[in-house]
Amino acid sequence: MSKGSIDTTKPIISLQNVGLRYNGGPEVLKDINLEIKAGEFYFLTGASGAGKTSLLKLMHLAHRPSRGKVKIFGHDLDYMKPDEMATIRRKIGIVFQDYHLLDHLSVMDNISLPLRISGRNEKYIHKHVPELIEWVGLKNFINTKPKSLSGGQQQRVAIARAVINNPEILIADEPTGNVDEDMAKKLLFLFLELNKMGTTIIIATHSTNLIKQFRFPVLHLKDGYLTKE
Amino acid sequence: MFKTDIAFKTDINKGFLPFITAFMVFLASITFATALIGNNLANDWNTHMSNNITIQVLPDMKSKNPQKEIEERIKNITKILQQTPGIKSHYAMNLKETVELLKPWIGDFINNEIDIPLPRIITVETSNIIPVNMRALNDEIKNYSSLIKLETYETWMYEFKKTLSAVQTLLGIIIILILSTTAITISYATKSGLNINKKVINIMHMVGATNKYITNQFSRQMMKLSISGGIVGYMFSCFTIFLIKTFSKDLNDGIIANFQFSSYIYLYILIIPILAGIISKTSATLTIKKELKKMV
Ligand SMILES: Nc1ncnc2c1ncn2[C@@H]1O[C@H](COP(=O)(O)OP(=O)(O)O)[C@@H](O)[C@H]1O
Ligand SMILES: [Mg+2]
Repeated sequence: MSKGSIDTTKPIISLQNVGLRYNGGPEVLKDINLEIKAGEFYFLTGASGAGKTSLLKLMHLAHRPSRGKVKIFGHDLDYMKPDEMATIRRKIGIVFQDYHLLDHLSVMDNISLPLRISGRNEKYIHKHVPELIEWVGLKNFINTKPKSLSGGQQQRVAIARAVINNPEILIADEPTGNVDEDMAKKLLFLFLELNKMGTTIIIATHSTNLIKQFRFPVLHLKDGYLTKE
Repeated sequence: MFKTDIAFKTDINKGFLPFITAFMVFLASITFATALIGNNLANDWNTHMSNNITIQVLPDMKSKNPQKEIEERIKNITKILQQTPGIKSHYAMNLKETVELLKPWIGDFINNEIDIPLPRIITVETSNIIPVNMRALNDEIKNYSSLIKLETYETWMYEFKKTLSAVQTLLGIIIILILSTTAITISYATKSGLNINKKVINIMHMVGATNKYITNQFSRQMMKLSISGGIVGYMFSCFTIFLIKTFSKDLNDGIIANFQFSSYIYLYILIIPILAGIISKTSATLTIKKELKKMV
């Protein structure tokens, strides 16, 4: 895996004095200073509305900060060209809080999307995607459209899509919010497995159970400020 | 091996786009075919008739014996023709043939015994190898008698060609208009297609698709729709031309006896769907690029 060549001493995500406000409103994130190194595993906690989703969006380049610097894989967002941004995004797996699945595509095609965008051939796709679908327990729904799935099932599709392309960074926004505890644990083990192979992982979650059980460092957001626990 | 039709919703354009391209390609192909057939017709007449000259010998109505004078003139003209280089053959219609020829117009009441002075026609075939000095011949005939008219095919053909090229220019403009309308239509269809797919495009951006990738995929999908329409439009125009051809064959002995054209016409008009394809592709691609820039 190419991740073996990553320098683990340099941060792959770096935020310096970052502030974020929406449309001239108040800052929802204030003075964020954060460095995440390759291979690390973080939980991100905070009350609803604390800014977890906003922070994750900065990390996967869906937003620009109102102030401060964001660097991903050492690339400064301020100087990033569109194609460079696309290349970086292909290395980041994202589980969106509201899944962001494509309604008109089957589970199979939804999960295959990052592979197709990366130019993987269909043979590879038809070998690997069904395996993962079976693993997340959706074998019988491979050709189903997301709208016919339960919230928990959709969440698993979103997770499968995020991990299918072996991302170097996995960003998951409350990925287990809609599944039962057993499935949550199972999914966490999947993340753990990826982490062991070198993927850097940041998971926003409310589940104190998971945090206790997996004992990874916790980033906590409160009143727009970030603290490390 | 690589899937090309991923991700986008094309439902809104699924019926509309193929239909509109089919219609446009049909219109443009038929227009183009008309221009081609005009050309064919002209060339046809050119090769078949350019070697023909018609000489009209008119009767002198004031004369006491016009018939006899006409025979005289015909004899002299024949002499002139024999001495003119480049004349392959010539034939003066006799009175009986002339009466036969005129019967449909004048009716049955004339016959060769009744001495009505009739104009007579000499048909002349010129050589392909030795050119005839038409002006000299014309002058000579005019000098001889003002009652003789020389009609070369060229003077007539010149007028015809002038008209034809004017008509063809007009047809060309119509084709350009049709194709421009196609381009504009494709652009609008692309825009509405992109609008429907805003969320899809956003997600594709999020998972790392480049604008180039999105443009390619999207224009390919638009092309699929418009190509299917183009093929249908082309087939419809071929069918229409085939019908015209078959129909005009039945009229073979009628006025448009020469209204036959080579089957290459089906190949020639293939250029229209191909042109439409190129124009659609360009229009779609440019529109997507422009719209994506707005989205980022
Ligand atoms: N697109 C947006 N436009 C305006 N305000 C937003 C937007 N997204 C989030 N916010 C506001 O930013 C704050 C943090 O939201 P969010 O990052 O979603 O928090 P969390 O994920 O922790 O619940 C909230 O007050 C929310 O209303
Ligand atoms: Mg959130």
